[in-house]
Amino acid sequence: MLPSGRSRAIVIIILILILFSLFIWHGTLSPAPEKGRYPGTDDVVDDYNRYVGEYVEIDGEVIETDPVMIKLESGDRTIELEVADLREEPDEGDRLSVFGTVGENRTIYVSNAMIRPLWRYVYLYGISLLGAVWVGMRIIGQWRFDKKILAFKPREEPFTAKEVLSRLKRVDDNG
Amino acid sequence: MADLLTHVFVGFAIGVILSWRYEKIKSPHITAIMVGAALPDLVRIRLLLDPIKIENVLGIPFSWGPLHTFGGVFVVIAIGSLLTVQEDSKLIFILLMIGAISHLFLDSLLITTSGYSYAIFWPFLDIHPPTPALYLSTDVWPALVSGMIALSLITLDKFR
Repeated sequence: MLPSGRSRAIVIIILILILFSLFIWHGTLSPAPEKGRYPGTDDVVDDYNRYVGEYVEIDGEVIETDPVMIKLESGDRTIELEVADLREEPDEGDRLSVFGTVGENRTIYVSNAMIRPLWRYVYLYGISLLGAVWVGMRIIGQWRFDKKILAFKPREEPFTAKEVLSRLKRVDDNG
Repeated sequence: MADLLTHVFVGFAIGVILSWRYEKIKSPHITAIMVGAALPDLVRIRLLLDPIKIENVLGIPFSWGPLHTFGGVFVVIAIGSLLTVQEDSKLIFILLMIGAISHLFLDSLLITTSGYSYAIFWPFLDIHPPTPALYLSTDVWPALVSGMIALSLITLDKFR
């Protein structure tokens, strides 16, 4: 498609700059409920009082159950909120996602909530890791990086899973 | 976001079906679709590099969010396909995009408490569409179902 060498490098640099501008642009977006983007956990932690009376979509860890209290985290900052009008009964340590209205006195009034126990997250990350390992093994087995032309190429003779593992072990032994 | 294994199973299944129709698509190309299907989850980098802390350090607004939108993956994939040999790059671009679109589509079906999904088409369209709320990322069955589909396709593939 594109000539190799310098012009390819220039296009890649331009694309990286575009990507970085997207990161900054996305960071400037403010909540817009009319577009379905409700204030989130970061917004509420940052400036709680600003959202009093508004709908927000937040989640945090359940730290008390009677009354239900959740801890919201954003960067290094945390706040604790009482959760009112909750029909479900969470346990301590569960993650609670809430869509509701911000009240005065650090209370959130639930319209809709979802409880997920911690093990669900352990499952999510465990199984996701498995997916990542599978893709990683297929990349190593079927593709190689040609340093001369600085490009990925399919291997003419792909490795079997066993060969991939023994190669990984060798790299590990050597370094 | 659904779990990564589900996304990779779906990418694999799409790849196997496409390989039946297009002779050009071989095993490494199926892998490319799987990589595409995993790409939007690069957004989980925020668990390691907290955007709030990056904002504090750089003093400018910052969010990893674009990595999980159409616009962001488009740029990432354009970069990725330029890192393949010239005669392959167009095909690789298409394969990675197929995988990534399958990921973004599946995640737009996730249950949310507000009933709205995420801005899938950002920055082209800044709208969070309502979600049909089919599953949670922490549900176990999506990986089981997609895994079973992938397994049956492997079996079918062997008999072709």
